Amino acid sequence: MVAINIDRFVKRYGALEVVHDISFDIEEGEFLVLVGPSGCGKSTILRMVAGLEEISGGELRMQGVRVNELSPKERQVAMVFQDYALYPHMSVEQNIGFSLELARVPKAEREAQVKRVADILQIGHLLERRPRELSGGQRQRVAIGRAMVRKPQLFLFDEPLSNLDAKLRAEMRGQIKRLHQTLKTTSMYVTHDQLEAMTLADRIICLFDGHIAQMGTPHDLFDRPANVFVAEFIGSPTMNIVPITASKAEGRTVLTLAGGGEVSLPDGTALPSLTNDGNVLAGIRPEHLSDTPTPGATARIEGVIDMLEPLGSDILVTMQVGGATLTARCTDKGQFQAGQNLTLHFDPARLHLFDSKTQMRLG
Amino acid sequence: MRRLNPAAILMLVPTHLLLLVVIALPSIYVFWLSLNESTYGSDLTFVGLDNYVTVLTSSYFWRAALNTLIVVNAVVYIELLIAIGMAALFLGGVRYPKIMFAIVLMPYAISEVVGVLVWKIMLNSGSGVLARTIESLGFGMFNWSVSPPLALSVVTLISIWHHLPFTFLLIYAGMLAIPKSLYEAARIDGATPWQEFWRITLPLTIPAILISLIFRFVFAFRLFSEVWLLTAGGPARLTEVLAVYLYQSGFKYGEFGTASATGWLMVIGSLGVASIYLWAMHRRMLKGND
Repeated sequence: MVAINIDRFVKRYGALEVVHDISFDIEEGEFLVLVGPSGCGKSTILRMVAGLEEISGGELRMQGVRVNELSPKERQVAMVFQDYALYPHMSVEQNIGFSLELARVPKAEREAQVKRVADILQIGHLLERRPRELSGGQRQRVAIGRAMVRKPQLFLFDEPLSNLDAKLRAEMRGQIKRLHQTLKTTSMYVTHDQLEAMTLADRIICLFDGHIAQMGTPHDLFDRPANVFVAEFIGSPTMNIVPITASKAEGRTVLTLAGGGEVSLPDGTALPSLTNDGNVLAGIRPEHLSDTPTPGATARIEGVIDMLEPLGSDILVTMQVGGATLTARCTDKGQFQAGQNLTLHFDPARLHLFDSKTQMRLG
Repeated sequence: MRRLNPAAILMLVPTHLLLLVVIALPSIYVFWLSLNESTYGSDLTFVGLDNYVTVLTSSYFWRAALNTLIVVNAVVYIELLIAIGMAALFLGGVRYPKIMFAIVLMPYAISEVVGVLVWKIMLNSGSGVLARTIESLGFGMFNWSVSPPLALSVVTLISIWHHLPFTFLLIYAGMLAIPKSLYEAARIDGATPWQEFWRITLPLTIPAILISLIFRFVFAFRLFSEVWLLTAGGPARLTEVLAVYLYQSGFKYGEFGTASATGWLMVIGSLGVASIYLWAMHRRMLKGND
């Protein structure tokens, strides 16, 4: 069942339009992540849904009913802010219970509800403390508790983990995921971190410059990016994208790199129909390049190792190939040295091709 | 204990010397004067605490102290309320904010003496524009110069007008420092604008309010030019405030000893008031409330 319809959203600040005609639905219980670089409009869309920004054009429907004109409270949404936005002069208990107090919920019931939420989030022992006496992770939990206690129709998260250090971020990410699996509240989550998007989302909307670049499951975006922007944005390290010319020689397809390097494709590799006389952009993810031939038909590419970045069990190998730079993620067995010649292998099915002008996916 | 390094001490010396010369030494000398009988052309005669007894048994002193107490409290609290209201208004957004801001700050840029004299002309019974407006509205003759309560009300009004920008600035700055996201969180929690003000803005502005109270009590305690220029303490010394009483005894009656004693009593009085608020601030800090 569709819980939220976002129908042709437009946001203008004076003459400047920052969100252009965006439409999507959120299913009941779904965890939807809006991801994109800063300035792409993701937070603006979230704030329009929250009721903190006016909707310049389009309609917001919750359970089928138009809510454009309703206040944030009437929309029954709860929000977790990037800077937590905890009330510094109130205790944890007062922070979590503030919405109930404003709604004139009797004290005993309020206390019971605050306690229930605090127990779920394991902050029951902190109820008397002030926000300044809490660590970043504890503050984050209080902020989530404040949102939970209202039993909202929709949870909104505005980059809630970006103020935490890497370790705590991973931990809180897990907590949010577990919480959603337990509560199953419809959620909309904004982040610039593609890893957060991939790990948390049922569905991702990748935004670029106020437009939807692609919408789909994390697998859709990772395996079949719709354009160069999504291909480069999703996945770490970033996908290798190089301009190539594809041509047929003696019935075989040959990909020529800008600097003259060639990629041999195995016999029978089917490429999508190409545009611009075969001058296209080719993309391959670092983890799909390997220094050892894998079983089956693989493509090969030869070059010289330029730089090595060990990651522990893996190593990032940057290689110069006929004018292009490619990064491969390989298993580190101490076999690499800078300046050494190297042949990388890949499954041609992992190759992504994009139109060099429109930057859109081919095939 | 951290040891100060010699270079730091050296750099602090000029300021401390200046404070010593213009504040500490005169204060000590005035204290010494307050223990002596002294007037023009005569040597000091040590009289112990006699001057304090004279001052504390003078009905004029108590009248001035009472006037000061009433005017200072009226000025400080009315001014505070108006400043909070205006700051909240500015925080909510006003039209033409820069022009409005300039208008609000303007009284502070006007010399105190000039300001008081202009008010005096405008309030001049029978000819002043304000006095005549009041009279034409049917309130009768606006003859504040013969009515001590009315005169002190005028003093209060002018004092508030002149110092409001200072209090407003402190409080407005305090309100501006409150993060916007707190208001957004409160709106999502279901707070009305009125509840936002009471539950978010006001509690978080208390440190700024305490600071402005301390400053304003200490300033207001020295209230002089408004009274001196409007009534000079009259009629019959009924509108005197402490600073005017001090001036009268020192420079009109030439009693430097009692004037000095009054000065020290004023210092003790304003320190007493300030210390209440300082204590409140200190307690908030200890509680970790900011």
